[in-house]
Parts: sequence; C-alpha cells; structure tokens
Amino acid sequence: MDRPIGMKKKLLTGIGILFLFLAMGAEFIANDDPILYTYKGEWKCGTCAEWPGRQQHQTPKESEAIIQPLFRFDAQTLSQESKYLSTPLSSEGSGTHWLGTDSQSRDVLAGIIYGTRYALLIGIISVFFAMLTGIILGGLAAYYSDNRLRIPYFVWAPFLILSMAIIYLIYYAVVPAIWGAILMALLFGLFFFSAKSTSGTRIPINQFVTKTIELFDSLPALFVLLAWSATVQTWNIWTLSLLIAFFRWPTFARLVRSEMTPWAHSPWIMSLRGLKMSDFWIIRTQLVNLIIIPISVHAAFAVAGSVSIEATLTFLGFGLGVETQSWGRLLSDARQYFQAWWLVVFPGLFLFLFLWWTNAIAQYIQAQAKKTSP
Amino acid sequence: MIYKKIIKGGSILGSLLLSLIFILSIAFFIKNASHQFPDEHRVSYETGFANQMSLADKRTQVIKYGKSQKLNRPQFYFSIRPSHYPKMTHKILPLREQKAVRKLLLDNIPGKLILSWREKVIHQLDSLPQNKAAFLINLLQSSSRKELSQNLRLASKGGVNLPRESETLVTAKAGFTFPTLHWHGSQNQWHLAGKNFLFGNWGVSRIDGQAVSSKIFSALPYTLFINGAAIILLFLTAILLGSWWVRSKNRPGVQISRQIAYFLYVMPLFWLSALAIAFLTQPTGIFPLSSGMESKLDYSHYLLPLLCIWLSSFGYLSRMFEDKLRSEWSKPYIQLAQHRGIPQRKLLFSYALPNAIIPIITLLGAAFPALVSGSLIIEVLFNIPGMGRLIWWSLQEQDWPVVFNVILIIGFFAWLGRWGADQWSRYLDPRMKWTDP
Repeated sequence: MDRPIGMKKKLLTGIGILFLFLAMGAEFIANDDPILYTYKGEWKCGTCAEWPGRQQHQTPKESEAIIQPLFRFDAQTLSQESKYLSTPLSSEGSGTHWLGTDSQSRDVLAGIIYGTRYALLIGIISVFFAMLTGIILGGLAAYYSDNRLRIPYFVWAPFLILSMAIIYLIYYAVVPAIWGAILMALLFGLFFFSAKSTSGTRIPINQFVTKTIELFDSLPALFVLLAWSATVQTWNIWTLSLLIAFFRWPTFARLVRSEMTPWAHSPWIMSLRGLKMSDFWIIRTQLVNLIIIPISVHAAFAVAGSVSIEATLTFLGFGLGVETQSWGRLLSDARQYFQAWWLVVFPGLFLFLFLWWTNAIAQYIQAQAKKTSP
Repeated sequence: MIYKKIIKGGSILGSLLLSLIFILSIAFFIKNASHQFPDEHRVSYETGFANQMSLADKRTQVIKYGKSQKLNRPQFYFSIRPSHYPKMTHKILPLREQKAVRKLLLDNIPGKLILSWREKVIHQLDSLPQNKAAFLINLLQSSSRKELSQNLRLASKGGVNLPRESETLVTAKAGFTFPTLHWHGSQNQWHLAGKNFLFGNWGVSRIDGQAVSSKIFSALPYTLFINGAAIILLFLTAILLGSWWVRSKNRPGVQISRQIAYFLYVMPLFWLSALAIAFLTQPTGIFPLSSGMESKLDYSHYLLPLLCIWLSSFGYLSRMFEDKLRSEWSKPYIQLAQHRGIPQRKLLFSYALPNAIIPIITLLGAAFPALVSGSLIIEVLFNIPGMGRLIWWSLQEQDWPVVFNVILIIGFFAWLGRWGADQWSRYLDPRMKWTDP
C-alpha cells in the first residue's frame, strides 16, 4: 500500500496494458487456428479467415502453419480429443491445457483470456450509463436544490403531454421505436435548453432525487437482479450492463449531489449566475469539472462493483449464457464440480486481479488528488 | 396533509409505504415480464404434462384456473389505448390467447373483428374432434398477421370449416385512432397484489401447491439468523480492530492486518466461499458441508458461511470505524481531556469511542440490504435453506408466487434494518434531538 507512487503507477499501467492486450487480441493469443498459414502456396491469415484444418483437427497436406498463437485452444472449442475436467498441464491433441478444462472440455486459460473482454465491456458500459444518469440527476438536485427550479405551466404541461404522446406512439407501434427515441431526445433537449425561467411552478427536484435514491438504497439489489435476470431468456452484454446500471446509478447521484452542493452555493458559481450564464453551461463546464476527481474515483470503484455483480449473477446461473466465456461462467462450473479446484482458483484469481486493479486505480487517483490539492 | 407528510418522509408509515409501493411495483413488473403463463403452468403441473386430456378440456381448465386466480383483471388502475381496441382485452383467458390478441391489435387489426371471430372459433372448438381442434387452438394462439394467415391455410387444408370473417381478418386495417383513457378502478391486479401481500394471502407455490407463507416462514429464520450473527460479529470486530489500528499506529502487525483486510474486501464473496468449499470442506474435512436437509443442520454448518461473510466485509467496516475514531481523536474536546491528564485508555474507550460508534450504526444499517444480498450467495453455496436459496430454487422452477413474495418480504426486512439503524443512532446521539424537526 505504501509503495512509492511512481512504482505503483508503473504497476497499474502494466496490469492495464495486460488486460487491454488480452481483451483486444484474444483471437491472436488463444486460438485453434494458426495466425498465419500457407494454403497451396498462398499466404493466409487463419484468425481472420476459415482455417482448412479446422474440420479435420489436423493440419491438411497442402497447407503449412507459419505462426501459431501462444495458446492452441479457442474458448469455444469442444474438441473431441480433450476430456472434460482435465487437470492443469495435461496435454491433449494440438496443445497443452495449461490451466485444465471445464465441464464441457473447453480450455480454461482460453476462457479466461476471452473473459477479459466481457469484464472490461460490462464494467465500462454499465458504469457509463450509471454515471450519466447519476451526474444528470445528482447535478440537477444539487444545482437547483428545492426552490430554484421554476418552470411555467405553459412549458411543463405541453412537455408532459408531448412526452406521454410519444410514449403512446411507440408503445402502440404507430411510430418505429427509433423515431420515437429521436423525438423524445429532441423534446428533452428543447425542455432543458429553454428551462431558465425564474417564475412558474416550483419543482422540488432535490427532494425527488433524494427520495428516489433512498428507495433504491433499501432494495435488496441481488434478489431483485436475480429475479429480473430470470425473466430474460437471452442476455447480451448491453442488456445486462443496462440492468446493472439501473441498480447502480443512485450511488453516483448521491455522490454528485453531495459533492456538488457546496460548490453550487459558492461565490464563484453565484457570480456566474449573476452574469446570466445559462444553467446548463454552468453545470456542464464548471460544476462537473470541479468534482471530476471524486466522480472518477467512484467510477473506478463502480467498475469493480459492476464486474463483481455480473460475475455473481453468472456464477449463480442467471447472467450471461453458456455460450459466453466470462469469468463468472467459468466459476459457475465450479459450483457443480468443487473437486475441480482449477476451476475455482484460476478464473477467480483473474477476477480478483481485475477488481484489485480497478480499486487500486481509484485509490491512486485519490492519492494524487490529495497530493496536488492545497 | 397526509400526502405532504408521506412525501416529506417524516413519519415511519410514509417511509414504509413508499418503500413497499416501490418494491411492489418492481416485483410486479418482474413477475409480468417473465415469459410464462401462470395459468397454463399451474394446470400443467396439476394434470401432468403429457396426459390424455383433450385440448378443449385443457383450455377450459386453464380458463377456470385463471378466473379463480382473478387473472382476468386489468393490470393497473387505468389504461390508455387506441379507441378501436376492445374495452375488455384483459378479460380474455387463457393468458396466452390474451397476449396473442394484444399482438394482433398491435398489428393494426380492428378489435371488434377479432373478438367476433374468436367467439365463432371457440364455439366451433367443442364440437370438433381432437386432431382438428389443434388447428383451432393454433389459430387462437397466433400472434401476428403472418402467423394468422399461415395457420388459416393449414386449418383449411386440414378440413376445418372456418368462420366467414377469417379472410377479412387477415386483410382488415384499423388505421390510426385517437387514444382513449379507461378507468378500471381498484379491481386491478396491481391493487390485488398489494392487498394480498398486506393481508397475508400469498397464494400457493406453482410447483408443489404448498402455501407460499409456510415456505417463506420456514426459510426466514435461517436468513435472519445468519444476518443477525454476521451483524453482531462485524460490529464487534469493527470496534475492536478499528480501535487497535488507531491505538498502535506503527506496529508491523497493524500494517499487515490492514493489508489482509483490504485484500479480503476486494475479493468477491462468492469466490471466497467457493474457495472455502473447495479447500476446506470435502478434501480436508475441516468443516462439514450441509446437504440442504433442514433436520440435519446443526451449528457446525454455520461456522464456515459466517466465516466467509465475516472475512469479506470486516475490513470495510473496521476501516470506516478507524476513520471515524481518528477524526474524533483530533477534535478539541479530546485535546482538552488530554491536558487534564485523563489516561489514554479511558480517553479512547469512554470519550472518543461512543461518539465514533454512532455513525457506524448508521453505516451498518445502510449496508444491511447488501448484507442480505450477500447471504443469498452464501445460502446457495452452502446449502442453507434460507430465503436466498428459496428464491434461487423458485427461479429455476419459475415459481413466481414464491419469488414475488420473497422479494417483498426481503425488501421489508432490508427497509426495517435501515430504518432501525437510523432510529437507533438517533436515539444514541443526544445532539440529534436538537436538530430533529
């Protein structure tokens, strides 16, 4: 923990590069097909095109592999020679299963490498949406408090009616959903850009946001998430990330609200307001920049939280399907075969490394901010 | 006045009511989003999946069950829909056919036409032999214009006399119509679900016909015991470890224990418990593993689960307590007491500690829902027949009445934990009395 900060920076960057490398180049690191091969004298890329030896499980006569990937198994291959649940370092067919195989005879190491992609994507997507919602709602609550958001009835009444009409049109399939979404975005944009009046109906946005956060706080999130994910038959990364974001935005909103409130009443913001700068401009350029460090620290923590939730859901059998090789999926095999210790240890170690990495980044940002601030 | 009180959250009743309504809505939404028809599901379980009952008979049974469960009520107090929609779409049973009709309506087929056509087809259904009835059932369940025309072709090939409207049905178009508001009153399913939950009519499980309340009440003590024990353990360790960390700053043991606590906190709970099961139960036999039978559980079965919960969260709470204690330690009243010559030990335990405990109680309350979520993982992995394992099993079998009520009950207890901790810390802190409205 108390390592010199430069060394820690190098370590964190190194791990980050490793994860990025694994996530982006998984096909080139672990694959059945050679990266480069010759077929009847022609040079071809096996990772991009179909490798003729795939069907026969051996190299055909006319072709010759030039560059082989580091690990000779794909995450999805159910090769017939490989046994299910074979121990680490057992070599079968074309290569060695360094970390053993799972219950469907797939290579664990390849699964871990491909799983990095899922972890990174789910972490980033879910945190992005949670952060967006949290900053918007928390920022509105902090900036306008309870008595400063006043909207005249001839603005909010048409807005409400129009938005309900758009929802109606989408729901009853009168208008395609994408048009509806565009219309809705336009409407919201108009509403927020035109909302700078000082008279009209008072909207207690702060109370509304705090009440909503409180409601989400007393929700046993895993129970609800589990039930919700049981209703969906096929998950993909997007739907799962959005679901996780739905349960995680309140933490962002709370943070943004509590960090932004003192700034919103500071002389600097007051004077900007006196200069008749637009509210939207003040929030976007000034207030968000002032609290960017706590937000990014929380975002790094939240990536760990989201990935951990995804892994838990998948581990319990309700998240991503069998066809995806996420770390939680590999671990969920261990739920049934506890004697296969390699299924518990290795994917879990990678998950742990990922969580440690994101947490350490958060702490690093925190430490740096503390050092530079007066 | 009452409305204002509820919104401001000053009263316990308002807070509870809001929380319950919120969680009821979420649970209700989830229940309706499940791709399963409760009436068909239950009837299949009652009569056996592959029995020799005729299709028409099975259909009437499904309708009978649906009526008895009041599934033919509307979903909510009101609905807004196009004016050509029939007023009583929600009365159509079985639910699969209701869904099909809704899809057909979305395909812009006029509602009146669908209903009159359906009546004629259903009238035909009773008189036909089994093999021809299947065509009609398929027709009733077809959920798009395309599917409808396909099924019509198949039925006419199979020698079924179709009603005359069938051809017009495929081509008819309702066109754009204005939205209309329908008020259904309190006779709706959302209202019914809330009422049933409050008055204890939790229904029966769809898989074994056992009362949901008996299932939940036999599972609840396990969850409450695990969480209660975990809270007490965590609270005690937080106080002991936190004050130790504050008292002896620079000893090597402090650094090492803080490091270990941090690593255990970062470890996901399910991995920790999976590791514990893989290495500490079967091969080494240090701890016994429960077989899931209620009668065979004894106290040794709780040791490892509690250890796992404790290991994964003691670091966070101890660290928080340490922070609070440190910030108390630097306050002027402690400095004053130091100058008065009060011994260090007394200063820590009877001056700073009581003040630092109060925010920790609030924090523990805030962490209570997360703790309950953690106990779900523990129960599933260690085979403890609590609420977590109950909801997990019920989800695998798509037993929605159980899931629905488990979510509500757990939501209630999570709220109770939070609220109780809040009230307790308020009671302990004399300063809060002055700021209380």
